[in-house]
Amino acid sequence: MNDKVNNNEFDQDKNFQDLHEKYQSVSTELPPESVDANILQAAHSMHTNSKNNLQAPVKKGFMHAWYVPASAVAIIVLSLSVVLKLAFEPEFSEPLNMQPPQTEMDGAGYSADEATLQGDDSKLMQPRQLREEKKMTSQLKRRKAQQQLQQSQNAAARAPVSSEKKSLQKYEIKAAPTSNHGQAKIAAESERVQDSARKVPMAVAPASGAASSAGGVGSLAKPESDISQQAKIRHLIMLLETRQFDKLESALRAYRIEYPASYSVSEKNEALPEALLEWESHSGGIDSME
Amino acid sequence: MKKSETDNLHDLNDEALMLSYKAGTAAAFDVLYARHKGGLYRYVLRQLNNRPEISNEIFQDVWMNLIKARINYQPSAKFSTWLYRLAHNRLVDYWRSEKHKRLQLSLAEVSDETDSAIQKSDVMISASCNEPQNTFQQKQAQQQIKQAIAQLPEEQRSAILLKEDAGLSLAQIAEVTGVNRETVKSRLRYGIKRLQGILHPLRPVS
Repeated sequence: MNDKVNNNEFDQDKNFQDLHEKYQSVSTELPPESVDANILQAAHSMHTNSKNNLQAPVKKGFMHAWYVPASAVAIIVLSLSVVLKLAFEPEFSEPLNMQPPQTEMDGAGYSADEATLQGDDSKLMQPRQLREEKKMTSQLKRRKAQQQLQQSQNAAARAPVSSEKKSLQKYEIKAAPTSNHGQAKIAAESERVQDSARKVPMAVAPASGAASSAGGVGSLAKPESDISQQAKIRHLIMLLETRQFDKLESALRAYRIEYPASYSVSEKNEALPEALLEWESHSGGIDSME
Repeated sequence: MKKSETDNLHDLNDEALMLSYKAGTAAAFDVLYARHKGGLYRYVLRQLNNRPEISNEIFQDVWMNLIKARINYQPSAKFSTWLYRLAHNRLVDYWRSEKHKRLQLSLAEVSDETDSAIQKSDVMISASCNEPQNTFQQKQAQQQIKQAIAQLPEEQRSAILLKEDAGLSLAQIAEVTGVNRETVKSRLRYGIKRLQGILHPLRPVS
């Protein structure tokens, strides 16, 4: 509406009207026929071409593009060069610096003793120190156990010991270094068994002396049975130590059947170690020991 | 059958014809071209200071661009606005490319060029036009008008030519040239005033 008003405004302008008439009278040029022909031909040909294009679209082949093989070759060359470089690269002449990073304590610039002197308790119980302390206590325990074993060995050396008992001592030496509380118990038990075993020949000795005139058969028969029993106990202890509880259970049952007197506490010779008894009383005996 | 189809095409407006050409009717383009070729050609010719060689090239380019752009054509605006915008953009491209080459021609040189161009363009007047033969005075007047238009600044010349040759409204001219309507209005006013000033001595004494 506004546009029409503006147009009318110009159309009604006398100057514009005059100019319009003059311009229209002279402005009669037309494009040359050759140009007309070119344009019309182009319009028609483009139209038919586009129709043909729609009917049969030309697809460019995947491998026709040059960049696909070029990129493949580039990747192969690069990967080969990296592999070859890694293969022929000389080893490091200098060893790598594998020093551990400085701890907070090291960085502080003073030791635990210094911290003690300064009354700085917070610095004393660092994790590293705790670990060392634990290590020390475990070492002490081991030493104690070794000393105990040493004492028992010395005592055994004083008394006559059979070859089987010597092997038991060997076993005990092996078992002693364990820092586990339960294993220490086992060691103590084995020592007790050993003591009882030591007492046997002492008790038998006068009898054997008396029976020596009769050929000493009775004196020899009893130690043999003792030896086999001791071996079974050792086997049981070994099973307990190595935590083969299934085998231990069946072996213990067999032992009980074979030696029913072992239930009797008074029969020191046939009594089982406390550790085994304790394990037997509890179904998960080893856990309770720990 | 064919004749009736062509007659039907003549009844259609520009937008419908363009859509028809887009759809695949080649004859629709012939009708469109016949309608707009004169106005567009004169617009290009005047914008290029009546140099027919360059004008022919630009004119042909404009139509080629239209043919290429037919697929994306949407009748959101008037067809003539779209066509003249294509022409305007092509002329702007041409002026940009020629800017560094083009020397600032003096008024005398422009008039010489326009004289020769008018002589050439007069030859191209269609034979179908049954106009009465111009007298010597009329011919002189025509030349003076063309010269006066050539002397106008580019913006004012564009506005006047789009009004006269294309018959566009103020809003359409604004859309083609990329300015607002008020600017187009003022350009037209200043252009007409300037042309009157140039043509005043030629005015017949009434």
